[in-house]
Amino acid sequence: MGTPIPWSGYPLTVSDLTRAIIISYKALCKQNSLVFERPRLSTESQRQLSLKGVDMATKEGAQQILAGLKEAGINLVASVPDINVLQLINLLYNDREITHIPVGREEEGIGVCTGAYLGGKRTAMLMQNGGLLNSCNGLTTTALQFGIPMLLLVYYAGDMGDKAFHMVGLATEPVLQGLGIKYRVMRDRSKVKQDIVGAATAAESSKRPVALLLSREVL
Amino acid sequence: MKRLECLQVISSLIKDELFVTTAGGATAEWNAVRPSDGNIQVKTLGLCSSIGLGLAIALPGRKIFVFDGDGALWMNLGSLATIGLHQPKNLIHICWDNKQYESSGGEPTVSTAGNIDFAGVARNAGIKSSRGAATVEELREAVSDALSHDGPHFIWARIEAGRAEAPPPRYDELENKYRFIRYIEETEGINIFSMPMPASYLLKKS
Repeated sequence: MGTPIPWSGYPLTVSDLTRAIIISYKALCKQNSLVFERPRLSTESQRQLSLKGVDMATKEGAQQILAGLKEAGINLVASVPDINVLQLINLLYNDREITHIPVGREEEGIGVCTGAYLGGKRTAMLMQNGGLLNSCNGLTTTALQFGIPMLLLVYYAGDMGDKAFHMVGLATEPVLQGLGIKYRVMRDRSKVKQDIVGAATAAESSKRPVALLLSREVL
Repeated sequence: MKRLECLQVISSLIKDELFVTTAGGATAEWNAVRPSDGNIQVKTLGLCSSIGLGLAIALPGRKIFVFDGDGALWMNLGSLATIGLHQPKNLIHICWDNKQYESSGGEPTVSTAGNIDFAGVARNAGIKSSRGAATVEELREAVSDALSHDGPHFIWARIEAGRAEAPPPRYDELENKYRFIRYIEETEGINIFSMPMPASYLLKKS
């Protein structure tokens, strides 16, 4: 169906071409397992991604963090994804104890956590450090000015050993210091639970956001 | 229609609903019309819709009003999509559109040119109960309807520019927060401030 393309030399139509492009695009995406699916990767695709040089976060790391959040009494997590917290996001999508609120932009998440705290929830915002920079106004004029406790779970892109986003990595800790937000870089798997419970207690007692920077070592 | 007339109508329709109000003129007028500890006054332009969403999710049994403005909503237009995604039944989001940044001196907003249909944007973002109101009667009908049906609801209230005389806010943000949470604790029968510190859970178990 459709109008044949005169210059093609073949009895091809525009819709043939479109279909061919869509089929090859879908095949390409399927190969990379990134589009057309909920953000959940099979073990096999993870292995393939690892072979391609993408370091994948482990399920164990994500499970430890989720257990830490529950131990700390966190019952609502807003999130914007990053490939390094993919496993954790997958767990949150399927978890029944923690209300998971995906948002489009990180500053929205600061608002959602604030509103949820006012209504009695214990909250965390999961994001990449680029998103932390995105949410600075919400953090200052809402979370800090009203004194709202929340855990900021921030993937530390541009950390030592991380190839991409070195500028974001460079800005992250000075920005947290400038905002007056207490933070810790999580590096030790064996201390994940303590770090999270400690940070949640610090947030609760100071009634301020407290940040945990998630390094690859713990993910 | 004037915003003040609309606010008086809303105050005659409600009981103990919670109000999240934008960094703008609607806040001072609302606090003059209905002074209550159930009002929280947002300081971040655009964030009232996100805060309202979080509150609505945390307290699903309580009706939550959000008073937004056209400039504020433009700044966080994505929040309509997020509300459309999560579908909080108890959220009533009203955008007071006076076609200007009134608190900043009257500069034009996205709405000034008249191209945008905020109700259409909201509806297509997944907020099915979305409508416009250009007269006080239309607004009364829209709010009564929103109060008696499941939402989320969005009302695009097109108002005249101009701010009614209203006293400045009586509280700073900290006092506003404490009063608001105490009000929720009392009316919902829950404890928010006196929850045990997370570290005490660990101590108990070890």
